[in-house]
Amino acid sequence: MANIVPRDEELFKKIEQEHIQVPEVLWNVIYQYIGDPIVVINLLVRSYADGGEILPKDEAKKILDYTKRMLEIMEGLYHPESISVDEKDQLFKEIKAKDLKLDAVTDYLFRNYVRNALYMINLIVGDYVDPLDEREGVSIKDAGKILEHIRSIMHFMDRLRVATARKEAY
Amino acid sequence: MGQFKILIIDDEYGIVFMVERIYKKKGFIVFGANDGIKAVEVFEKERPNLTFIDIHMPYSPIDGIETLERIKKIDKDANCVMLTRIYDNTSISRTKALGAMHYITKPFEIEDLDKCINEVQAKIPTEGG
Repeated sequence: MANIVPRDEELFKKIEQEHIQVPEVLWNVIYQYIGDPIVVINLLVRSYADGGEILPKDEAKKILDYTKRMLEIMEGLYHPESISVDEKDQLFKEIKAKDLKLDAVTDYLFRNYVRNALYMINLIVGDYVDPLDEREGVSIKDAGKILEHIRSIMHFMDRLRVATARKEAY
Repeated sequence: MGQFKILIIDDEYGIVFMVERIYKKKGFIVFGANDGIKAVEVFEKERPNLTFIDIHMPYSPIDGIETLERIKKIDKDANCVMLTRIYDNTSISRTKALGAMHYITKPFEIEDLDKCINEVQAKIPTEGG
């Protein structure tokens, strides 16, 4: 399992006690541009790892493309002003126009759980897609590490979803 | 019993592609659609045993709820499982009222889909049974 962020329990308790919410438009961006690609990477890696197969390099390149795009999206969440004026998605236009941001606590958790895990995945697959790398593909051991980071992100998103859910919704 | 047919509807191309690949490898017949209109056409033609429908499809002409509604008009007994993003109780209530059997929260694991497949498979009478 990936590292636990210091004061993890305390921070999640703070989110619940102070009724910290994630604006709906930000949730939509997070699910569409981070949650969905996470599902794809998970399914992609498992489609090889579950059968004990090595993940080919062209698949590793796809993972790298997904994680790079996810990191760009996260940058836009931290700095709405950096979102391109050419961005077509209405969600980003709304974020930019309203200067919507995550609050300090969720921002801290996101950086530590999601961004760091994505960097780790980048490092793992980046090594394999290097043109000088002569290995056949991503080893079973490294595929296992990718899955650990993916599950850590999924677990975090689930906890955040529960912690920020409006109680009357239950 | 004929081969079990699955339909996956999601506007994220990668999810449809991977679900198709994984379950075809397991011996299922799998159809995929990236928008609700195409999905309804596939449903009408292929009559899958189980359909997974993403509720939130901003790039589709119709969303997952309307897709479910149209599928249920074709076959009121269709087994449909909704894929949701958050505790969106309004959408969940609507889809339950329309006859969705379950909902799965994204991001999901393959085992979440497996459970639904097993449940529907268990309902199908075996040949000579």
